[in-house]
Amino acid sequence: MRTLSTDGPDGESDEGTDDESNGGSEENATAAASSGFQAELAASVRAVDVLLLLLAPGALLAVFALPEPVRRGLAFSYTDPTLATAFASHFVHLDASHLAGNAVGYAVLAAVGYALAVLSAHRRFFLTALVTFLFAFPVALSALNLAVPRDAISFGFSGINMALAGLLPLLLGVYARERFVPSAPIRALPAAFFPLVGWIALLALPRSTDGVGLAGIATAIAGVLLGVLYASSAGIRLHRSTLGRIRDIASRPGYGDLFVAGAVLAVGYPVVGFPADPTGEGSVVNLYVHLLGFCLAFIGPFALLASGAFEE
Amino acid sequence: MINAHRTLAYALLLVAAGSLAFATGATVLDGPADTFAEERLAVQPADGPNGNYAYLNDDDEIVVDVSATNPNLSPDFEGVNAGALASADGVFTITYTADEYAHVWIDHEGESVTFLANGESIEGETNNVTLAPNESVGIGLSIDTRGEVAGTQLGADEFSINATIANPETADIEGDSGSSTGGGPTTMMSAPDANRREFVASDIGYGDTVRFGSDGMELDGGDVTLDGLDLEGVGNERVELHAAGSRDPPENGSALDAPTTPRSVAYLALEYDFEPDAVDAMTVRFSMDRDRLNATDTDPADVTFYRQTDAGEWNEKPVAVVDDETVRLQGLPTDRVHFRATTEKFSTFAVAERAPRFDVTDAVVEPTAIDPGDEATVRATVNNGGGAASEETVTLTAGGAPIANETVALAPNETATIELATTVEAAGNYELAVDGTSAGTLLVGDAGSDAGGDANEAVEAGSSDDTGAATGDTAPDDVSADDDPTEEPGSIDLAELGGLLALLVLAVAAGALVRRIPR
Repeated sequence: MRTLSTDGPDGESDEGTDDESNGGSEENATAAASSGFQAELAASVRAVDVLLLLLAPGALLAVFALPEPVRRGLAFSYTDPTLATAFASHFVHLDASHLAGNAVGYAVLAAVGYALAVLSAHRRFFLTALVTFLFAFPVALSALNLAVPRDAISFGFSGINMALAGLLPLLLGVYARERFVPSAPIRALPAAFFPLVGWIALLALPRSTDGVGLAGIATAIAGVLLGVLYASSAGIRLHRSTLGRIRDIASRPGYGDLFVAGAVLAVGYPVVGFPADPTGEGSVVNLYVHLLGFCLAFIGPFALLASGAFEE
Repeated sequence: MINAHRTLAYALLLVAAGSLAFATGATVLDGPADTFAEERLAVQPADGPNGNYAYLNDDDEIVVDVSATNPNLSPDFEGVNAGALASADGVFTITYTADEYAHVWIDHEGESVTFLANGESIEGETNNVTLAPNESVGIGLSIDTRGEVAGTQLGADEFSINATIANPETADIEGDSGSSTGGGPTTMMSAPDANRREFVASDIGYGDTVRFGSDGMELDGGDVTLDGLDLEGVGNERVELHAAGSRDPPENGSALDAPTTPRSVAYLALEYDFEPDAVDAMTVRFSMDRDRLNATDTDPADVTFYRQTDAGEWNEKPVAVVDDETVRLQGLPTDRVHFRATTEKFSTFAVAERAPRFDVTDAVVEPTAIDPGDEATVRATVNNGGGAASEETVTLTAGGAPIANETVALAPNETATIELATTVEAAGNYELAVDGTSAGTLLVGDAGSDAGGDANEAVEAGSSDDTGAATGDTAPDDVSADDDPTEEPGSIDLAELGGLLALLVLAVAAGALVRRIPR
């Protein structure tokens, strides 16, 4: 069997062998690497970070404890917008299932994002983005919703969750560069963003055989092509060593698992956030705010990241 | 009505005189007669077999005697069956002998016996018949012994014959009302049930007309009754018919079914013992309660009559409404509407009401996509396939909720194109339909996040009362979303999130498994 090598920063490499007798030593190495990952992750987590991460769920629960008329009064009405409701509405949930969905979504996205950030030495970047998402995004997203006048009220935390999902490709990029591919250029990250936007279009836009129904597919194809073009212009080439790195990522317990989990979330969360049928009984899921959150959360932090503002 | 073991005897004596008073005229009578009204009315037993029930007594008073004491009848005759409904026409005749017109009627208080003229009651002034100079009318009897006990002797009753001078303007209308002279065929009718009659006519001359009175045989309770059957051009010396009425189709029969979808009211089944071509035509006399017609808002002109062919098809037969003047002159009950239907063949018949049937076809919405607040127009073709003209409201619905309507007046078999315009304020996809016929989907666009959603449930019902012509100008109605603002939660589905988490676990588990594969 051909031996593949990696050029990770720690200089570690897994060397494959045809010798079955080496299986036991490989398992031992895997267990050791896994415990090393856990130890490094535990050492990187700080109590103040955890408190900050728990700020959002605490706020969600506190608001949910308010009487429903009060919560409904905190919803953002497009016909009667106020600064207070523009901010508070993102922490308002009218029923428990709505709250539970957003709380679980936040827990997964924030946990994976934080782990990727601290293990890629981008803790400050992540926490800055999180604080921005929690305190600035609510007002920004509400304000942008006013661009489409309609008699409706908006509420719920999913816009901010989608911001965390939009941040995920950036965190995966810096994590990959930190752990697997030191030469990967940060400026190439939009090569992941465009296909994801195309993927969202494919999920959210109605599909049918007429012209309007082809918009989603067309946007998805355009997104993929833009991603390929962007990656090509950034000098990324798909060659055997890249495939080898992917295999290397998968073969590294802990670190590889975290990357895979992040990648699955980056691709899978839009499926949850952009359902094909967003209508419910007397309500319509605000896909507009989901898309805004996702895109703004990528574009802004990417600009700062590409400028080197968060090099640690 | 003859030779029954359980019998009633019945005798009637004429003792009262009429009240007519005018100049003496010439008499045209042959033979002795009882006279009234200063001898202007002459009463004689009829010439036919039923004339034996009447005779002049020693005082030349007319006697109607339906009992064993009648010398003209067979010694075996015992009387009328108990619990029977029987009739006999042509018992005696009344002839007007003066030179003007007269309204003639009989006053009689007994309930068991009804005097008939032309199959209808002649009792009471309102039921009078008009006689021209020297004109006669045959008087028959309807005897109802239901509720009487066998062997009862009803004894002698009195009746009086009355007359007044007729109004010259109306008297000549009734030119044929007295055509029966009592010398025609002998008819018998029995009523085994309220909705069944058995008719027998004998001594019929070739080509004669036989008139059966059915004494209000029920077709649909008392609301719809068969009042008589007139057979024209009868070729047999004797005919017998059995009639049965019902609200529902007769047993082994099918319900009324015709392309114009009339509503059946009642059915009349006839059984007869003659060849169909032995009778040229039959007139069915039936009537309907006026209150019932009013209650169902039915125009008498929309009452119709169907005959079922041997092949099972229903053919509409001509029906005429008896006009009010004729009803008055013939003394028919004025609280009922009287009809005459004619048929050449006999089988099962149906009394029905013509009904409108509006069908909407080819409903199309244009344009199929609009912006919120814009107007869309639905064009629909409406056809009245029923048998009655009507004015009906056609309704446009969005997702089942009415949003516009238009009233259309159509004659039978008339088709019209209508336009229903509506303005839609809320974005979404609306399934439009006109009276249940799909007009397609209207897409109301919105740059907002709810575009493409199914907004049918959010449509608020609205209606208009505008009435226009068939191609009228319906005022647009607004379609609006619910008064409450639409909720736009930023949410995700818990089940889908659970699926994502499961995928996450699978991916990590797959990575762990891959690492265990020996290289």
